[in-house]
Amino acid sequence: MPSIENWILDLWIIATASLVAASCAMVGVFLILRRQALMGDAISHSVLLGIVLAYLLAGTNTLWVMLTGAVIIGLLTAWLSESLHKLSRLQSDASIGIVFTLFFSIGVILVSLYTGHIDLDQECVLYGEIAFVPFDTVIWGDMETGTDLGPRAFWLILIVFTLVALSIAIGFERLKTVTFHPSLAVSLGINITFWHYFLMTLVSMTTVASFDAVGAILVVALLIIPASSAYLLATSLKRMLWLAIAYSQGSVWIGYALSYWLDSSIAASIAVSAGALLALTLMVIQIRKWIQQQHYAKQLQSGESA
Amino acid sequence: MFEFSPFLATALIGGIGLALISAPLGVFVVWQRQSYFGATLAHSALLGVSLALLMQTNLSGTIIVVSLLIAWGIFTLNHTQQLSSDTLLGILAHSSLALGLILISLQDSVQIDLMGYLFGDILSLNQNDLILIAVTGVLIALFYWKHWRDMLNITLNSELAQVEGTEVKKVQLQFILLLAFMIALSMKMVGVLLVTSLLIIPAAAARRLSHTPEQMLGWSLILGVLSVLTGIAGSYWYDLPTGPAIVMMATLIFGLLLFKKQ
Repeated sequence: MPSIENWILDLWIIATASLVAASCAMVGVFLILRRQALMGDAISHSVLLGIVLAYLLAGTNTLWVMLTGAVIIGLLTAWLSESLHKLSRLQSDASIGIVFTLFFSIGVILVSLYTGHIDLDQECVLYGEIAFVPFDTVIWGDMETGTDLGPRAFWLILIVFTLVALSIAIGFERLKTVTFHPSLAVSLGINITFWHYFLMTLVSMTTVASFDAVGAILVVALLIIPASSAYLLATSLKRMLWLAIAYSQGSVWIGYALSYWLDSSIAASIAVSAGALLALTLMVIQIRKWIQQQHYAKQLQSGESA
Repeated sequence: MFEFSPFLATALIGGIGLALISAPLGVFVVWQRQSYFGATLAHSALLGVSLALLMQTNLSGTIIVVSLLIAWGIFTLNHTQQLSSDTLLGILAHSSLALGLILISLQDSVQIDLMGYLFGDILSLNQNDLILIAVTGVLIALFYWKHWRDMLNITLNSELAQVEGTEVKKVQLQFILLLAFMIALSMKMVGVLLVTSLLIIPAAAARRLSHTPEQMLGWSLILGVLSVLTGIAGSYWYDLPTGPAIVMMATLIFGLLLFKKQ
């Protein structure tokens, strides 16, 4: 029997998932445009190490500790792969590959060594369990008398979402120049390096906030897929951002319904429906192209006969 | 204590075999900037695992078939230029991984050790895998024996290679299919998420020691075997997950070689 409490649980899950998807979509737009999909992949993997280290060193899993740990490791990944690329003249994709697999391995080894002590289990870390999100709540005040403010993951992603949205809104023009005309940006005196690492910070924050909900692996799907669907249709950066958000929300709703229907993992279903939406978009575009071609061919023919 | 069981013997032989087949492919993966391609194939191999469980088919066989299909799919999609290739790889990697996870979560009756597939379990190698590894090794040797020069030409300048009469597309497709074979086999040992490092790190380390492509091939074979052996030893003695242990050892070797002056 569906009770009112179940509805509230579902609501928290969907709210968290939509915020995760929206933040990922916004950051993903820049990753796609700057052709840094691999970098997003790398950061989302190595953030695992950041979280585990922060947890082991600080002993708590408070929001700020996790965020700081993840951002530091995320920036370290970006910086190390770039220096490796420059120092040893190794191809950039190979150096990214080396750095993030190393960090990820260390993270996995730490989790497997301390898995008894910490409340981080491997499967949870990898693909998250959004269904458990509502049970880990933030309580204001006393454990017993305090008021329940709602799920921890929700607040974390809300903070990150706000940060991402604000920084994109404020730095919009700068980001646009850096993304589309890097050399123009240099000649205008915009610090490209700063904006690069700024973007990497956003990626790390989004990843860590999405961790509870979708885990380290599937977050990449949410970073890349809605943004690329938007890329296929958009004509301006602003449109692309909005379209990406719309696609991400669509995937959340379809994915949630799918997981309800099949009784499968929610995060994975969301990722799969994002993929399905992309495939659909590609198909529609192809069909439209084909129709247009037919149309032109017909025009050409009638023109010849006339 | 060191007990020499048949399991361990299989594991060691399998490990050395995998290092020997991944290193030569890795050399070109690094040169041709295809690291992300390797990672994508590895992620989609998990789809193979879940399909095999769903349809009750042979595990290694299904993984190989799925990897080959995906490899071929990427190869053809790459030539239609709707999205940039790294975006395309990211999309394919993660949507197939997600699909794999859904298919696994649908099968309530099956208890499988997902961690084994994600991070590798050296003890999961069996006799059949050894035979498959040997076959792949022979195929790779044959391929390089025939096409080593062609691959070098393609890497340097694929248009020029085409003009000179190399069948660029055909050779590339063969290389990519071999890569799919190798990844399907090695995911059992190092796991889906870390196969890339088995490909790139020995090759990247070998770069520091070599002056010619042939030397790089030789060194990457040696360093690959070395990191697999030390990794297995570490995983055996300290009870670490095998894949991550191998990656750590490989990166250690790479890191040490970074200090060498070139």
